[in-house]
Amino acid sequence: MRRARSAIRASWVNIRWVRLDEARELPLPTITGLILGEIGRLVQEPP
Amino acid sequence: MRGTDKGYTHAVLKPGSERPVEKVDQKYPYLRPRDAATLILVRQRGKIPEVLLGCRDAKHAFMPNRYVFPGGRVDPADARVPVATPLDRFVDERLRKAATAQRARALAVAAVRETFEETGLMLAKPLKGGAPEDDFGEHWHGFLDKGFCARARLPRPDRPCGDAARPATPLQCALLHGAGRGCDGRDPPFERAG
Repeated sequence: MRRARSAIRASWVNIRWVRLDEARELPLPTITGLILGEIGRLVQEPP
Repeated sequence: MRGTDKGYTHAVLKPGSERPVEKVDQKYPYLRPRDAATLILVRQRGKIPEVLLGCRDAKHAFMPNRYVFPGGRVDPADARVPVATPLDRFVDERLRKAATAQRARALAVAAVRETFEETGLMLAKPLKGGAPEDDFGEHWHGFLDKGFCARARLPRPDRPCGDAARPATPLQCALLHGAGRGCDGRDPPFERAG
């Protein structure tokens, strides 16, 4: 019988929705920061 | 393993400040890149977009204490597990520029699975005929035990405030892990920012 995982993976913490401007102030990998910038650009200038 | 900054604490980290570990090539001489996928979820709250982020645990060798989008390694079963919807044609075309159809599917499905494992947000819908009898491994128990299968139809990257905003809304989130309830308009079971 399959057994479902009972909890969210513990190695990932503080999961939350973050405002785009606040997200840029967090410690981010470089690529994540670049993607956030691209999201901001797309929000302001939708394709 | 390049870019890891094990040993640094959260307090001294700044955006974009990751740095290579010394002699990483000698320590991990045979590491090969592995396929991994991530899902960027954006929702619009008023005029301010929000993104779903989580902080990697301090014990991680790679990118500890960094806020990242949900995602992770592709599991072999990601290419085989039944999916409730096909991959979006636009996304498929983009992925197929660098991957086979099977690999593209596995990447998309892995992003959905990892998002569930890391955030509890399940992008899924019931599979016609019920869940398959085959066992696709531990990674898929959370989905298949509830009779749900991943939706490969992912948000389109060119519409962050359109399709990409929906997965976090009641209409798109099919099941909230743990609470065992269907779409009820509530946020996923984690702390909201702001």
